[in-house]
Amino acid sequence: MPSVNKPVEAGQRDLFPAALAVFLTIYLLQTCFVGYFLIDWRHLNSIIFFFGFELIFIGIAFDITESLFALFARPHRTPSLSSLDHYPPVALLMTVCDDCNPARWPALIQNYPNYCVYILDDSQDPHERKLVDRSGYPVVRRSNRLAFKAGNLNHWLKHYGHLYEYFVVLDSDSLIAPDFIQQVVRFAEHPANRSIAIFQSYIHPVDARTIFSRVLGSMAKIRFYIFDRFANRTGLVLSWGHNQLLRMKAIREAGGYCESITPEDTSLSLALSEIGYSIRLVDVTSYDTDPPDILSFLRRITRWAGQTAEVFSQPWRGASLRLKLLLSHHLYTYTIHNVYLGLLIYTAWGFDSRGISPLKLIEFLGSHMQVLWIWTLVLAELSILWLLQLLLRFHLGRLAGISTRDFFEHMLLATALHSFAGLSMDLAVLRAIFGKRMDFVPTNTKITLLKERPAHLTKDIVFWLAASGLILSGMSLRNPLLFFGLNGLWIFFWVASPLTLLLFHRDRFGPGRVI
Amino acid sequence: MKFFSRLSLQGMLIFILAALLLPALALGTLGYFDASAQEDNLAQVRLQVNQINQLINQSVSSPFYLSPRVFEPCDPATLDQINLPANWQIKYQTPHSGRAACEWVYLVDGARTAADGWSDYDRKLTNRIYYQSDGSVLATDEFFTLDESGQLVCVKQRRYETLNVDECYSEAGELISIDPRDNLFSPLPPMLYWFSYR
Repeated sequence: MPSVNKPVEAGQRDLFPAALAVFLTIYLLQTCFVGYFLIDWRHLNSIIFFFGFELIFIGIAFDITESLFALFARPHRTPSLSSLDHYPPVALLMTVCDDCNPARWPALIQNYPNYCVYILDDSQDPHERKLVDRSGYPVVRRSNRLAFKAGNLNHWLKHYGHLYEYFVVLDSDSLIAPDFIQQVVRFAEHPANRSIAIFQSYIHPVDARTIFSRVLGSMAKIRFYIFDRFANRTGLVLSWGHNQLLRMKAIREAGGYCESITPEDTSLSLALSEIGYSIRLVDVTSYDTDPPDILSFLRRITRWAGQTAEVFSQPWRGASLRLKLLLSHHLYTYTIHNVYLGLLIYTAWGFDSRGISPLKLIEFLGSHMQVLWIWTLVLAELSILWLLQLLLRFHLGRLAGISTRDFFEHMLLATALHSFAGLSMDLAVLRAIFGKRMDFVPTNTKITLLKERPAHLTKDIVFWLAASGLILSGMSLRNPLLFFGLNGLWIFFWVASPLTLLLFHRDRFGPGRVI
Repeated sequence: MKFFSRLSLQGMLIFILAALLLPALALGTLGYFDASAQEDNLAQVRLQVNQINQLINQSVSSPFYLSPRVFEPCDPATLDQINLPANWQIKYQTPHSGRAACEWVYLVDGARTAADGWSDYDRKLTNRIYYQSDGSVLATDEFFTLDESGQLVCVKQRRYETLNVDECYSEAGELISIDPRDNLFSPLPPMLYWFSYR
């Protein structure tokens, strides 16, 4: 009889209803406060702003809710066995697609007594195929690359799936400890976890060889700190597609991976939820790499954005309400930059502050205080909101063990990346909305297509130049007051984004080094 | 709950947006009707003030209008030469503050209707105050208002006391600006990407 660990937090409450209530409260309070005080319903400018604000408030309310729960809730502890009395057969699958990483192969040796390793190779490059053949592990290939990773995994499931009770999916850059299978099977074998189909490990970044990669991955600790206390406690967890153990019975019941859309991880999460299975982030650590530069980052974020939009092409009736909400939030995060940019351009051109210097503005406010005090109230409220979000995140970062320098460096990089990558994300989302399937290119592929060389950034640079020009000309010709205050800061980060990105690529310049 | 789980993913997205924007829409509709009511109210008060203004301009006349004689409104004797309807009366008084040297208070059937303030510098009309029947101030016109640097801001600036609204009129009598908030842009909410951790 296997020994059973009691969960550390026995009888932990489901926090989803509470989180929903907090989210709605924050959102409605913001709506009423700004709607009542700031908006002048006689002015079109004001009304346009209100609806723009409403869209942004959704994200702010989610963000603050997430931070508050991360601050006050206890982490979720999934029950696990302290030891195993039998060892169900486990397959360890590493998916490869022109991105093989021989340095990771030694880590496939596990101290679990009943496992087999397979390399599922979708590579097209003959050199890559030869390299994979030298791995010493069984290599499974198919005659085509239909349905990308989902097709690759289904091909294996069809031929070998019946031999195993569980399988672990790794990407080519995944790194796991020798006891990874041992640890994660203890969770899967616990009788209380029968309805959990996927046991997702914490994935920390490793091998950060560039400044860009190091800074990008520096927030992993806060990510898991929040996930453990918010997503895991509210059931808002989707499969991340790798570094995870999957229950074969559940995957077979779900009919394997969905091949009609490219995000095989998300579609599997939804399909599993339709038949009553869930996904859980468990306290097992694994590693992978973050993109080393802006090109890899763009490849990854546009793929994520497009894949998220692609999921919406299917109805998913009967799937979990929570996962649907989470996906709606994901799509929101990939598109909300348009509202900011739209409002900035509108602010630059829609308001006329010519001839009003900051000093004059203060005098102006003073002389019209009986009319304008509410404007200053909202200004103060939004400034406090900025500060609250910043302090909450900063405090959570400290609790998760993130240094002040890492926190602010990441903030700077994230802002530049999301400002600069806006058009690429939009195009990916639009393509998916209009029914074009994503071309699945792994983040770390070694095949650098011509279109993915630095020239690929041309459209982003042109877009950045056009948008910056539009904002700056509006600020110069119509609304010079925008140079001051919080909006000015926003614009500064937006306009400076290419320079910021160059700063984070400073180690890539030099003899023989090209981005 | 069953309704939500049967809802398609697209339907869910539309439902969330609709549900979250519904309070904004409700607030917007209420705000719009409230603003329309205020606009109607302002239009009504503006009409009332314009009628009083027109009545004074039509009813009060003087024989020295367009004559080369220097007009001295702050000499009480000047009032004797002003022509008025029978039920009108002008009361001369000296204000305690402001840039007016003297004031003419117009009484119609004994009720205070308006008051003109005459400049202490060039004896031009500097302001006109309009009163309601209960004696409270309805609106005030300030003529040739200047800013701190001496620049002309408005040929006529009207303030509606009860509505807390300012209007600025050009020399041609056109309304050129109503609200100082026209000049103000809105502060944007916090950037979400600042706190992204992926």
